[in-house]
Amino acid sequence: MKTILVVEDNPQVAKFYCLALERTGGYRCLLSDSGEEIVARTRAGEVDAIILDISLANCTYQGRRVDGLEIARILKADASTRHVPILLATAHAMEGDRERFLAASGADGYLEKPIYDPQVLIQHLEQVLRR
Amino acid sequence: MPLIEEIKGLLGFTETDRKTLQRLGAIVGPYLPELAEVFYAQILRQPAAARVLTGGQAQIDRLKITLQRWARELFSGRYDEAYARDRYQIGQRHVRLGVEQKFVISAMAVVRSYLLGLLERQIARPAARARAQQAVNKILDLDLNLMCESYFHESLRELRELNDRLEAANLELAQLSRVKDDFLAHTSHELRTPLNSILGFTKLILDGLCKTPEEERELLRDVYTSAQHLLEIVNDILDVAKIEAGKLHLQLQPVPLRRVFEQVLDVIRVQAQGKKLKLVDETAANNLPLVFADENRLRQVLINLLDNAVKFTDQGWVTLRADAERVPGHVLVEVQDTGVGIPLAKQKELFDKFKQVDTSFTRRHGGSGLGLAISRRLVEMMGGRIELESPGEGFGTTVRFTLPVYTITHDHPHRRDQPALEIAGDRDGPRVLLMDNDAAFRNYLSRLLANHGFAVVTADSVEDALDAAERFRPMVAITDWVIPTRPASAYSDGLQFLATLAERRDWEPFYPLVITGHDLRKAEEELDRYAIQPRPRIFRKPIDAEEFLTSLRTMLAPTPNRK
Repeated sequence: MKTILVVEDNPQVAKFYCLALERTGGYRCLLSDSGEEIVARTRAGEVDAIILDISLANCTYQGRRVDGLEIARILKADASTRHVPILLATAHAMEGDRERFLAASGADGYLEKPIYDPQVLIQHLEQVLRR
Repeated sequence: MPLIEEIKGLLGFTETDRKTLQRLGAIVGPYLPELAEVFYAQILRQPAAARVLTGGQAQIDRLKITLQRWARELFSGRYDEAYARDRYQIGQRHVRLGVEQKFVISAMAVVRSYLLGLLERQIARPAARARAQQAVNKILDLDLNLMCESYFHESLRELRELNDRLEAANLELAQLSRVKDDFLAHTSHELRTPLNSILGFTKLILDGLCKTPEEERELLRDVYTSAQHLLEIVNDILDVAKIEAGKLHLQLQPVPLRRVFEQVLDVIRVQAQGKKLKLVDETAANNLPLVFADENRLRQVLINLLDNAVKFTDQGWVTLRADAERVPGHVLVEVQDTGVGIPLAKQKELFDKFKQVDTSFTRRHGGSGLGLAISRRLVEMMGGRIELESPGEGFGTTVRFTLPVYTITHDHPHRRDQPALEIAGDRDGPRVLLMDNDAAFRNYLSRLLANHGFAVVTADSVEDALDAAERFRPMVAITDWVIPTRPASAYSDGLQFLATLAERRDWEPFYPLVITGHDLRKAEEELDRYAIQPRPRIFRKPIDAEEFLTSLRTMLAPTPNRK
């Protein structure tokens, strides 16, 4: 069973992701909003893919506030975590943001919110897992 | 300044013409008194003259001398810059007096026909006569040009002024439209967040992905909470829209604070207990006077502030205080928490619309992000002020606001001592009261009416206008439809003002008018809601001055079937 790490600061949205992942896709779901924990668990090989929200209210890494793009950069810069696929999620994206975000973070895929259909979430996830 | 040489060139004015005119001076000179007599005999027959020449025989005698001096200079032979300036200034004087341009042109025609006729009789030789008449025509054309230039400059000035006002209005509209765009972007995001949960969880349930009925119930509870949240946001948005449109009407009345405090603390206590926060009520000890407020809206403000305090505090306490000593004439209410606090740099922005410290706060804590902006407007409309204080991030927040203490004078807020009425225009003319907060338009309309024989009193607020009306007893009351609300004002638009005035007045006749830049059909619909007697007439902004004056005069003209 594959484990997906969900980094999402809205508890309702996080809950929806987890239920959808577990019930529709048969994944295991982990939640975290601590930068250190995200990096540590990924390094330890506990995580098969990450769903990462771009704007995070309360996420810190080594004492400073970080957003999803920065976490992605940290993970992609680290040889031990580079291979873990990252799916970026954001609510208000304009035309062209997608490419910019992907280029800036090195993430593997892009999830445009709102997502409320479990199937759509799973499809996106499977796409990055296949790469 | 007019360029005399250029005009002379255009008219084909030559040195020969100059010499001819100089020589003609001797012939024309003795006839100038007669010219003056003939001129005024003809001019006074024109109806337009009566409006300008109101100074009686003495004024006309003075003007006859002036006319002779002016005519003599036509034959001076010195047509230089000084001459041009002099003629131009004559034109300016006419503009200032309100003499219309066509009147100047027809007056010039009288002079011309007299002078040409005179030369016809006085000069026998046809060639010399033709030369003389040609020169006279040219110099009169020159004078006419110079005088009319003043009119041209005046219209230009008016156009520029109008243009400036239009540009200012345009700029304001552009800013307004940007604010509206931001509002739309923000609110659509805020609406989408709870909708996401509602759609997502119902989809999970419908797809049969819940394992137990208990789990289904749990998700349905989430859906319900999100829907409630959505409703809160929609209500806040509607409040903002109402405030913006000046349609939020407050019911100001004496309110006992004790009762309101107890109600809101009951509501908040549940939330505070849920987060294991202490809710401290420090208001009970103080003996508080009645405040002058809208009870429902006051409750809304307090719940907003207390709700925020609980939301942004994870441990410690939330305290409610009230004090009638610190601000004279006001009760100071304070909500303090030991929560996350607010960075110093962000504190000012918080009361602006849609600015939370970080929009992600809304997502974590719920709320529309409009609560503080709405609270500020509500407190201000009740005549108070609101401020926020936080020593910085992590040190808690204090929000305090004031409410005016209820005094007996609140029953008659419009009966204050006032300086003498300032009446513009003809004091004996038809009395017009003009209420508009837009100073530019107010001044423009006031000047127009004053210049056309009306007695005008202006006011920039409903309260002042009602005060003035009691003493001035206006036959016509003109108001803008939308007026910004003053703190503690019970009136939120021009129609309310007219309705109040129409009800209070004990004089006849009375004609209420509304001038608005808004959609006329909407304005008429709005009028239907008020039973103002007589029904106000609506005029579109910008007004056409002539048309507006004619309507006013027609309205005021006595007709047989009117009392």
